[in-house]
Amino acid sequence: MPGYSWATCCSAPYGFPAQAQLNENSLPLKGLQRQGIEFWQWQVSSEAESGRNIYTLVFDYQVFASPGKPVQLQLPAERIAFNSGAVVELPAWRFWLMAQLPDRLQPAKPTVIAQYPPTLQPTQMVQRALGVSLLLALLGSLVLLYRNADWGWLPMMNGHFARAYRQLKRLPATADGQKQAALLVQQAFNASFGQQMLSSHVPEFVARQPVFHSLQSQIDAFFAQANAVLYGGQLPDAGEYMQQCKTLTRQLRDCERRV
Amino acid sequence: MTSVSIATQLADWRAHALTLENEVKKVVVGQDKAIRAINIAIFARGHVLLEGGVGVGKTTLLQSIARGLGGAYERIEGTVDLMPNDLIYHTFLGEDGRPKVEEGPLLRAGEQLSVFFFNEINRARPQVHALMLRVMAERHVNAFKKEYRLPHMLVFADRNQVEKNETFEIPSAARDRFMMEIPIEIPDDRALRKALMFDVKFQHAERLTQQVQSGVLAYDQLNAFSDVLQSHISASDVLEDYALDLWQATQSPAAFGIQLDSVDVNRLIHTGASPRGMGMLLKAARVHAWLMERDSLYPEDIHAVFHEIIAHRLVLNPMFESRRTALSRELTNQILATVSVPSRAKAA
Repeated sequence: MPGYSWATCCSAPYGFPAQAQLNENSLPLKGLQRQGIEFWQWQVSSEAESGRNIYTLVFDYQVFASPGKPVQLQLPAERIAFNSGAVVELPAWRFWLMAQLPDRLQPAKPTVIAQYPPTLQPTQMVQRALGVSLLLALLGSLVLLYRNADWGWLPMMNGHFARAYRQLKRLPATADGQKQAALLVQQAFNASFGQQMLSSHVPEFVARQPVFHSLQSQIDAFFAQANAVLYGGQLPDAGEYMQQCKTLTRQLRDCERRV
Repeated sequence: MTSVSIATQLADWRAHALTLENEVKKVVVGQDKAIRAINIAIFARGHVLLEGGVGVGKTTLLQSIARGLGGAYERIEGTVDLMPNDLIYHTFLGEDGRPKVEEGPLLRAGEQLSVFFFNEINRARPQVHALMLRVMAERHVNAFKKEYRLPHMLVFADRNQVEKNETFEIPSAARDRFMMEIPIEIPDDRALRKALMFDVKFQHAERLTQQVQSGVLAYDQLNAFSDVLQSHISASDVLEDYALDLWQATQSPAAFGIQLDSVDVNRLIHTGASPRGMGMLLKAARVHAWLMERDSLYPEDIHAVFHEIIAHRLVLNPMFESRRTALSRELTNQILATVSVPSRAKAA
């Protein structure tokens, strides 16, 4: 049965002489309905104190109503009798009643207040930036790999100077290694130039292949030293010369690869 | 002779050599390469074959060189009726009406002869060539029951390449006696051509050559200095290998991957450069290194004289002989471009 139950309780301590006994038959019957209020239950407790009995009566009522608007009701007056013949009148107790819910059942949906999720922070830019960063990091790694690695399988890593550089790295820093280094670089120049290249050919070499133009002075210096190493003259220090050859060949390789 | 004195000697002679070049360049324009080549031939003590058209300045060039070189200068014209004895003596009737014999151009100056110019040598008969080539090799000749020594003589011969009538081609063995064949070409530079046409000073060759400082070089000391120079300039093993490769390439160009546009190189070469030719190549290259103020030979030194020393020595198969000048020059170009340092063996 649809409806609402509402219960309340009232309690009131009364003090009586010790010989006065509460007549429980005078208490309202459970389920008694008066003025729309149903008596639900009672509880009695007593306590002796200073030659008196203190009775505590707890009456529980319930109302089966759900008024949409406040209505005034009252608990009925009660008459409590004791075996001694004493009577206690409990006055009526007015109160207001109103259902806390609408007075009639309605579909819940219209009353539902829409709950919106919290506004999401825009993450597209962050995600895009993260993607770009990762892409740049990947590209950077590839560029670093392409620029610094020396493997022959890398693209454009089999040019004349790239091969010479790989061979140069294996040469010892001795007088013989110095000579071999000069021959290796000379051979790379020959191959790149398409014919035997001499120091007098350097301007023509850079004119034909402008990518090497920035290294013209270093190439001139190489031929000056290579002539001394290969054909006679003041020999440079072997270790230093080898390092110079490697540096120049690496620079030439980078130019050759358009790095 | 101490090393210091050798260094001083080398420097002094170099200064004289460069002075000679500059003096000749004052009167012969547009021929710097040829002047440098002749200078090298002088210090390498090699005879020179000049090749070029008519009126390009060969005689002026030689007279200028001879004036700067000092010593005596003699000249003879190659003609079809020239006989060997015309080089040695000539006969004439004296003032007293009696026949007289005098030394010919080859003997007239004796040991003072420094430059002997044989103009149009290919017009002379092979007998004349034979005598001339013998004198060039031995630098002495017997005549009038005595020996004439010509220790300082350099022969410059001109070969007329334009006209072929009544000429006798110089055989390969004879060509090999000449250290260099130097092309004398008309300069390409328009300003130089204009000067040659309109500057009147170029119209008086004799007056022109008088402007050259005489006796710049002590011709009679050149042989001794040449020996000093040749022993002073060294060659590394790498350069020796390179020179050997070049020599082999003159004999078997196809083995080095050398190709020419118009001919099959396998059939082109009959005989490559001779040992004498390669010796002369290195000799001239050493002079070039000395002129470049170096003590050791570089490939540049060989390149500088390779055409002039090797091209005329190559013996082509007969079918190509008619084009030998162009083909041999093209081949030497290709050899220099293709044969490289390091040599094939070392590169492998």
